[in-house]
Amino acid sequence: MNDLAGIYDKIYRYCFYKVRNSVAAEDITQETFLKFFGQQSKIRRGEDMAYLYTIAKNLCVDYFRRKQTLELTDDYPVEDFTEQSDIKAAVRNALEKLDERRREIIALRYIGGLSVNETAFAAGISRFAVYRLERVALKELKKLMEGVL
Amino acid sequence: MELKIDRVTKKYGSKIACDRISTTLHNGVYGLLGANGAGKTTLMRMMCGLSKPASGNISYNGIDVSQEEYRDMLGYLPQNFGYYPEFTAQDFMMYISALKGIPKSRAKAKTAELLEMVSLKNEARKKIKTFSGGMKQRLGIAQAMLNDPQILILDEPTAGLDPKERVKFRNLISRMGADRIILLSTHIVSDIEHIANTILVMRSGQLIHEGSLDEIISVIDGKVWECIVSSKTADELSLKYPIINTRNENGSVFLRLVSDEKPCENAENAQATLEDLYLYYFNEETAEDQAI
Amino acid sequence: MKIEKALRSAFTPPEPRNKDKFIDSMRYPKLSYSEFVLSQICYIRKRVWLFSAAVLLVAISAVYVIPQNEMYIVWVASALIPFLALMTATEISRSDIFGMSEIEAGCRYSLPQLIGARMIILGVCNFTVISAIVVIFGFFSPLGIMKAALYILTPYMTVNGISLLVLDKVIGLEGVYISVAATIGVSLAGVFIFGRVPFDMRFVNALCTVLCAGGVIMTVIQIEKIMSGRNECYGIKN
Repeated sequence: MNDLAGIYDKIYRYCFYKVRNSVAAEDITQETFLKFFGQQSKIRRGEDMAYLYTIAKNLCVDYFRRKQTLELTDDYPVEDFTEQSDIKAAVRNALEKLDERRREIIALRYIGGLSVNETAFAAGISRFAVYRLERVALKELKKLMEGVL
Repeated sequence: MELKIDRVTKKYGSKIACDRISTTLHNGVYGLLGANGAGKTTLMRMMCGLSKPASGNISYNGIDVSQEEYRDMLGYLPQNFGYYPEFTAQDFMMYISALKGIPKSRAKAKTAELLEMVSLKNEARKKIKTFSGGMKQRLGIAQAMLNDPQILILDEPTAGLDPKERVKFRNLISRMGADRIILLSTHIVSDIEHIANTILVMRSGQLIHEGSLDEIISVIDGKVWECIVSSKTADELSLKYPIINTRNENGSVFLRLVSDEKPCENAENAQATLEDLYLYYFNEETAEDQAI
Repeated sequence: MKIEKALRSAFTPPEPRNKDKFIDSMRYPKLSYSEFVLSQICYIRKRVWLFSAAVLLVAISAVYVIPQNEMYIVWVASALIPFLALMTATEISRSDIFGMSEIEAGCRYSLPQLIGARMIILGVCNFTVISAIVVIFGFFSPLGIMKAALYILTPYMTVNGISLLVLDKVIGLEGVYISVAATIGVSLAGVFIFGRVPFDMRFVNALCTVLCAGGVIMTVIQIEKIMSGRNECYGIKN
């Protein structure tokens, strides 16, 4: 599991989802790696991946605390007004409406790209709980996006 | 970011190869100047952990030279190196990568990058035994860079390179010197002139001078003379002083030499260069060697 | 599945700015020593594996093919075993023979660790082969395991000791040639002693014990030299 570039992308994407700012997201990504490698020398699948995300999440929380005011505008790349971009915006909005636990599971699974196992580690719950929450969250999202999809 | 060499001494039997050498190196390019047998290679090998000093120590940011952590930050190009037969350039780089603890995936990428940097990309799959001396040298430089070393030690790196390659090499070293410590030893004085920020002059196992090019040359400021004399006088003078350059001119002899005082009537001062200094310092030594 | 797809694509951030430089600069995870040892397996020349397999096959086949002659089986092996030891010694000394020692010594996994890796790999291989042979002979011939072990280990340790000594003293391929000659000598001696002349077995056993012990001692000395003090010899070669 030495695909550092791939993992970098994933963590960056996850952080960006959290902090909505590309510069801050990249800083946090790099800090996450440095913190991780300060203690270990390898990234193995499973626990290590989850640990990386935990570090990233905590750093994002710290970022919020420092910032105090959350920027209202997203840093998402500007796209043409196509049907695709409509759907994407709708998904983003819908996700915000979920409760925090379900939102986090979706974020770890689909934005961070973690496996069920890794998500379980990162969220501190059982695999079964992950399956359950994911299913419920997806159902809720589908309902919220009824008109758009 | 400092490499500390503290009163390092090395003996071979009764001969003192390095005599209480002390200096501290920081990021940048250092040129090690000295005649053969002056102790340059001995010092470099001690800096690589290849041989143990009789006394004194060497450390980088507090990490002693004997530790694995030190070697992890080291890149070394020895004066002569062999290779396992049947190895291609690629094989060689991958083999050294393993020794440097670099995982295969990264080793592949790094190998490709470095072979391109030294212009051996097209020869990657060719066997080293088909390489020219210059190509082999370039491969040696590439392997030294595999682990992005903080300390780069190059022993006669430009030997075997043609002038064009040498210029390329100089540019490469200059660029790399910004982020790491590079120590290179060479007889080719012009290499040191062009790329070394600091010059270390070694003689008979001692570090006799350390400084920038100008500081070093200031030693022989005003001591380089040029004159045109008869061949008889020329012979006399060549016995007394180190002759840097000589040529025949219409029956007389043109001499460029180094001397503390004015050597003859019509001598004029000339601008000192590093080559002049080299001869000034090391001429006696070569004479000694020849006597033995 | 549209929702999953939408989720995956809806959160694509702008391109990261410093990714490549950062990853390059990071102290990426390095190989552990055991990973390093494993990496060296492919650098052991094929001929070593082939020869080991051949020796094993000869030993095994001798049991079935040839009628049980007390000493015959043993001297067949002691004609071959020396070459196994020779190959091991030359393999271990490859760095010196081919002038790679200097570059290798400056690496993270320096010469002692590299030699150690080779010895581990070859040690495991040889141990397996020799154990198998000793067990087979001990079992199938009236010699018994102890004698079989002695007769097999003697040529092995003797050649090991001699080869390592020669390769230390004589530089480069020349050292290899001399080792080969010495090995042939030992091999012929073995064939001679066991195959032809009816020597007094007590004398032979005593001789073997002495040679074997000598071989072990010399091997240990040479290996210790390689691991620690050998560094001092560089540069005076080449």
